[in-house]
Amino acid sequence: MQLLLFLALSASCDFGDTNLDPTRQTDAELKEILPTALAQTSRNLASIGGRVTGTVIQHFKGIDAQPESYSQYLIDERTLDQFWRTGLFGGAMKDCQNIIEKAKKSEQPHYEGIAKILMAVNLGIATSFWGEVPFKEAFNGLENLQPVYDSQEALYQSIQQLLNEAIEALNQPASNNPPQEDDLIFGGDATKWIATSKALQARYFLHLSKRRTEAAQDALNAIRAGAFQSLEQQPDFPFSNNVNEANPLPLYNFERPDQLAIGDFLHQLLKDENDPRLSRYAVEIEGMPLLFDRDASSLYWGQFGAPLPLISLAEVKFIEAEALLRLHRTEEAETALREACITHFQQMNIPEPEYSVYLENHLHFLNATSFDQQLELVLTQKYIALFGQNPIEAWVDFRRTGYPELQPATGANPSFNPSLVVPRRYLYPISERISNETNFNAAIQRQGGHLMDVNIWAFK
Amino acid sequence: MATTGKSQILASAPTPKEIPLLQILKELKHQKPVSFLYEPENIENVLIQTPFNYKEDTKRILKTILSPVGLKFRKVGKYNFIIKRAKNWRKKGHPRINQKPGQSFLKQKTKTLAVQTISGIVYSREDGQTLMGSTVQIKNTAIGTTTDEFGEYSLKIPPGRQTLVFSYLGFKDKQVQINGQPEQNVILEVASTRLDEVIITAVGIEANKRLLGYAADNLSPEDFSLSNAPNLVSALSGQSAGVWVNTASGSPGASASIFIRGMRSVNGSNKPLFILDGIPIDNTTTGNGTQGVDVSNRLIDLNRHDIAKISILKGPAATALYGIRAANGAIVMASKKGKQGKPKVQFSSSFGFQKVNKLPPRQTTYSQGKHIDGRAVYQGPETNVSTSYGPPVSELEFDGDNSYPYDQNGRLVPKGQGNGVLAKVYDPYAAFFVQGHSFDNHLAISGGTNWFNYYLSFGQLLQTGVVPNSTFERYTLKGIFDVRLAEKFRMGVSTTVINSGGFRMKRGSQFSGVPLGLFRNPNTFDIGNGKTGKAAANTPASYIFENGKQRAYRGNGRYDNPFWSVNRNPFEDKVNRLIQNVSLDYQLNSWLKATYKIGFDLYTDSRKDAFDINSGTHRNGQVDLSDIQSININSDFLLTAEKKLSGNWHLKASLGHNFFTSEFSIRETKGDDLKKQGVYNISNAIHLSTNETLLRKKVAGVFADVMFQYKNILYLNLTGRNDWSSTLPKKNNAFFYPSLNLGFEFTELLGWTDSPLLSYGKLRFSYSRVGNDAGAYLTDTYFNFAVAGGDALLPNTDFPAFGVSAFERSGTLGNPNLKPETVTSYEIGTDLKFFRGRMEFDFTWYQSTSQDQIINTQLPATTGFLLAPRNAGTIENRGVEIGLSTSLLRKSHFRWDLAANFSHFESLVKKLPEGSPSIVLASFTNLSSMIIEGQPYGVLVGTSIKRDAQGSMIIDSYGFPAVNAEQTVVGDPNPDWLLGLRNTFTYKNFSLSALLDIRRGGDLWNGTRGVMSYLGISKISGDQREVRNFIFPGITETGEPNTQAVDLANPANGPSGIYWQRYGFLGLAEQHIEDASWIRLRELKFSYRFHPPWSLRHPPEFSVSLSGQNVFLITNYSGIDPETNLRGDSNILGWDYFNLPNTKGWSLSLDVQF
Repeated sequence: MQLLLFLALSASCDFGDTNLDPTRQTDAELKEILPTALAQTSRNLASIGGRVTGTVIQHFKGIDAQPESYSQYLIDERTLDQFWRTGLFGGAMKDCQNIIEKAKKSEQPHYEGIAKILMAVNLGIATSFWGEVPFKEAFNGLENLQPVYDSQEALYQSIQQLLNEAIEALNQPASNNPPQEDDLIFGGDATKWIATSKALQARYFLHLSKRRTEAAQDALNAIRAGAFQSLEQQPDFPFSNNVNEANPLPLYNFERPDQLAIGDFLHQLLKDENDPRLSRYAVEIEGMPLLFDRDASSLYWGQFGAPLPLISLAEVKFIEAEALLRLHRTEEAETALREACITHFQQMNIPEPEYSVYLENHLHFLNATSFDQQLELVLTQKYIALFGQNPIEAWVDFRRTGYPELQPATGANPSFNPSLVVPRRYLYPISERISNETNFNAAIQRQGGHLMDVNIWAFK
Repeated sequence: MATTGKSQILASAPTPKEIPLLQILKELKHQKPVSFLYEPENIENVLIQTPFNYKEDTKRILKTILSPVGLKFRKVGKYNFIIKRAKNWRKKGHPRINQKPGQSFLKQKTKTLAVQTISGIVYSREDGQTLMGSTVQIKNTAIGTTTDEFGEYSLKIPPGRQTLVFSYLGFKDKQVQINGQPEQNVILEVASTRLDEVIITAVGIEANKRLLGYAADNLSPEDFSLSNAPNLVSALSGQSAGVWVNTASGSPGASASIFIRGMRSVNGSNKPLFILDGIPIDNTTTGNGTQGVDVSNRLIDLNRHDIAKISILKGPAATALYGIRAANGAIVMASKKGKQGKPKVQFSSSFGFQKVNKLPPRQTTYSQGKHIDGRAVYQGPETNVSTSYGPPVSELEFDGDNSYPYDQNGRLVPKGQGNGVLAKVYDPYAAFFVQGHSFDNHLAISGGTNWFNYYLSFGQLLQTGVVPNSTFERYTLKGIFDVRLAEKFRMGVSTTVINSGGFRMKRGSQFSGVPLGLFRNPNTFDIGNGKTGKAAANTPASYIFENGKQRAYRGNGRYDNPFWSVNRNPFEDKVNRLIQNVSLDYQLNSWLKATYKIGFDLYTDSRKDAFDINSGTHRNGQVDLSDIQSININSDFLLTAEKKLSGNWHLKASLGHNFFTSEFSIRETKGDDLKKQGVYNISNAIHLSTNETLLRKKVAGVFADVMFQYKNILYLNLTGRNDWSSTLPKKNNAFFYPSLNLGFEFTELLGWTDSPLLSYGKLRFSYSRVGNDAGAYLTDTYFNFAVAGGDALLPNTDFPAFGVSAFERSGTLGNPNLKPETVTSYEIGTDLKFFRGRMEFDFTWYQSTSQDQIINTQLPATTGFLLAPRNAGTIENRGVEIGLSTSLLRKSHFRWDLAANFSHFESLVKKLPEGSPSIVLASFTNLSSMIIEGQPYGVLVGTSIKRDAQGSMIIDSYGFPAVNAEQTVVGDPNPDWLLGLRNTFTYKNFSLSALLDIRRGGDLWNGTRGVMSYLGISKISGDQREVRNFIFPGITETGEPNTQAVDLANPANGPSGIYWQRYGFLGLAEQHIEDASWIRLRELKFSYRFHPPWSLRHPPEFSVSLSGQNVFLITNYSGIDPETNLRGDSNILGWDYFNLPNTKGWSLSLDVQF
């Protein structure tokens, strides 16, 4: 008996590669990873992060189910947890980090450049939502299970650094195997990416208009240093006309109809001024200005295939207008404002005759004589133009300028927003509280809380 | 004395001529408080000539009149008389005998020389009463009879046959040598039903229960057939202490989960291992998310009619023999087998019907609508409004416009503006649910010779559910053959072929779910458009307009009309399964035996899950095909030695080798954007995406099991096993685990075995350690097919997409240093038998600690990973089990038995890995099931009311309770205790059995109520709608007592003034946590066994029974039956979110054996 046991024991079991999954690979090439980094980043702008923010900034009004809760400021620590985990840090940002590391190793600078731009955009979303988030110590796997949260100041430096390094990398000659059709936005055109990176630099400089006196000048410099100047160069992600490849905003309204209407403030604004964009934004159904109807082909953001820019040309022009205004170059600012709006009308496929009256009546500083009035006009127009494509930037603008002057929702729930203001930040997600508790608590303490009425550093 | 004229005449005049005996008995019954029992054939046509007087004592009358006609009687109790034929009636040659032609006296006599007749009476040892219906059989033949109502039998014995076997249910068999005596009275001993049973412990190893040092239970077909449950797992509910069964819902084919002694593994399975005839049987459940349908657990494929016995081995003590997969206990089943003798046919058929047993209560006052401009305004289906915050239905009337598509009576308008026909309150429940039916047939033929035994069976189960169009079907074909190839060499072959599947209903969190559309439906919308039930389901006009859009309460189907869902969102599954095993058995010498067994368990499960164009979910239509394939192969080699050692020592030892390999794959093709409505063919889809997964695993093991027995006093069992698993890194893939079991019969030692009080007493102790391996592929980090997600409310983008294929690094960080996890268990217990076995009691206490658990720990996403399998964490599990069975009453024909089982268990999370003090098992929008250090297993965590240190509610500035910014533990789904109480009453051939199932404690999240309140359709949101000036008890943020009065739903305050909408769509999780305690009559069965009145040489035995399931349910839970669980057969318990309801039902069964 013992002999048998011994024999069996000594014959150690080798199962070969039984425990290797034959349906998956243990590594992937850069060109296989880039598409998902691009798709996830674009999705992050318009899926739940954009949807919740669009409701907070009153682009949208939740009239049923979850969006109705957002409108009542019931945005709790779970609402954006999955967005944080599989959209941002464990999603697009992880993919970007992966590409950056691999591209460095295999000397493929254009991949590195694109990934750094995408990383910056995602980091921009994260810090504008929550203030401090981990970045310097992030993405190290088991080596650092508890990454420390960086200050917002450091994060904005990181964003600019990423964009600078991206430009550097994209200026290098392409490798033998550069991005091609796997670059779903520009098909591997490095110059277009450089122009995008400069535009984004301007955006993130201006984020700090309350913090840095050089913000406006830096933003203007970045634009003038080669930010893209045409719609053809706009970094559009090509969503497509089917469920799997659809733009997340129309997809949501299709999958969960009648939950989102256009926000009352914006609706009134567009109606009062007879703005032709209203017909592109909403459709009246049973007295409710909804964002979507299957049959409404007039809706720009009601089409699955609506391309979504990482940053729109209109936004670049608005940034330029604001920067010029802040630098007291009022006339140039007025020109930039008009260009911004014309660009946006063009983006919305509105023919000139439809908007010319509006242009003449509203888009000049005739009735806006003071700096504040001019700033309000620029930011209100920007607010209108960011509808559907970037409510996250509209929220940043509101928090740093106070324009447009939105009123907090009436009768909202004060539980996560005790002073019932238009929210200033979101609660950190529950998974951070659970899995990175010490750093999570430290970050909350440094920032004076994380309820929605707590101001974060950049917008104080 | 008030007697009839007729009886006066009879009483006064001695009877001059023949009167039918039947008439005399009838008259006696009429005059006196007496009753008679007889077999009609003995009484019919018998005429009485003997004169008598009705005024005489009944006993005297009977004596006078019965004897001349060859009958005798016996008094039973005070007033009952049993009349039967006198034994010597034939021999006396009474003139009234009808002798069969050709059966001459002489011939009979000759025959008696060769054929001996033996007769006698069978008694019970316990109370000395005779036993009716006990079986008397000549050993190794099919010749036999049963005792009559006096316990008497008479049997002709062919020459050469010497042994009779007497048996009776609940008594020990007794063998008697005939020795030429014509009379043989026999006393049967009560079987120690729970202690002397044979428990199947392993691959062909059977052990008397008294030998075991750990807790085990046996179930007979009577136990697990009681419920008529098609799912064998459901049938184990309430049957054994420590066994905890939950059923997903009452829909046909729904899964049931089973846990023995609670939960101990975080990410692994907590299910016991199922073994059939020595071969592990797959009981996987694939599916059961928060969406989808109620899928089956694969044990549903087994037909309970083919099972002869089930042994439940609790705790891990038996794992030496079955390996790591039995770490959560084992449920060992043995198939019915053919026995030597003439072919035996068993047929059983049952027909049942089911109804919904409990539904979430609704308000029936208010209409669909909203609070607009300070008023409650009716908003009809065309407005797409989801809520029922409209005006009272009584304030509305129809406008009579019959072109209005949503209601034949026209649209609703305020009273006075229409045609005067008052609005109706429709009842969607009554309109929707139908009666479910089940039809279960089984035919088996078995028999054998001295070298060949066979058992063949065919089973058919057809079920339709309470939801129209839902079905489940199962066909089983089974053959078991046992062949003696040579004197000492046997071969067994068993084949089971199964085809099962059904048409299942969408449920849970999806707009196309049947319960969602039904429960949310407002009072003013008629889902059936004038029709109900099957008629409405079969009439497209109830759910679809001519333009192909939906007729639903929210316009064109934001939520599906449930009749749309049952027609246009088909889910079908088809399972084909083969369970095949071959065993070889060779007796090497008098004490050594070698066994080899190889078993295959293979199945394919083909599923089609479709949504038509215009459905609430996947509005462009979707067809999803998935093919699941499972291959399990198990090989066992076993050497068994059994030898009497010197003196009183006995040794039994086994040495074995086991190899197990499994492959599980899913191949899925999803087609989005259908071209044509109503065509559920993947070719009708424009966009296809595919997915493929394959899990595989191999485990090899060697084991030894040694049992020393000293007299009947001491039993010592030592086991050891070493396993090698493919799922662990090579350096850590071998692990050894031992066990020790000790049984001590102190009654034997003390010589108390004949004691009338305590005749049997055993103390047992068991220690075991079990290793366990990891899931497949956890040692490496992979690149998965890329997915763009991050939004739980949106479908993901699956790559390939946008014309390219893509991969991304998986969120799970592979761990090349994993080592096996271990579970260490201790168990002590006792089995006691009192009053000569009339009462049995057993008690077990256990504790088990799982260490180094392989847990998929949640990492901060900022590490770049989401999960990492790590060896960390300790879960402690302890509990008590008490079993009691006793005969409360045993009178001659009447018996009352009571069996009770009580279980209490707790699973406490002692320790989790550094830096991750909690782990999410599953989460929904405002609720999750979590593993948290210091908390019970799988607690419910969710949004809750903010309270101060004293527990007072904090009231916000609007006068309503404030919400915690952080989610907290709001409930514990683990029950405090479970109690199963089985009462069985037997009277002669009748029996009545009732299983009362009591569950105390354990929370359930009633998310259904949360949403129904938000929508204003729950009963509470109707009852309390007019509440004004209510002051929530609590304190303000500044610590003052709250004095602010609020209205709960005053239209003047607009939509944000509605209390049930203040906390979001699902409300606060805490407010919808409810106690799921219940008392239910799970099973009630009335049955009658009889032989048919016609006479045959081998008369068939019939049994007819009527049984009820979930006959009643007492619970404070305010939703559907709290036994249901959205997550079905999984580790996630306590979720009710638009689950399909449960059912109650009755069924009638017929069993025939000949």
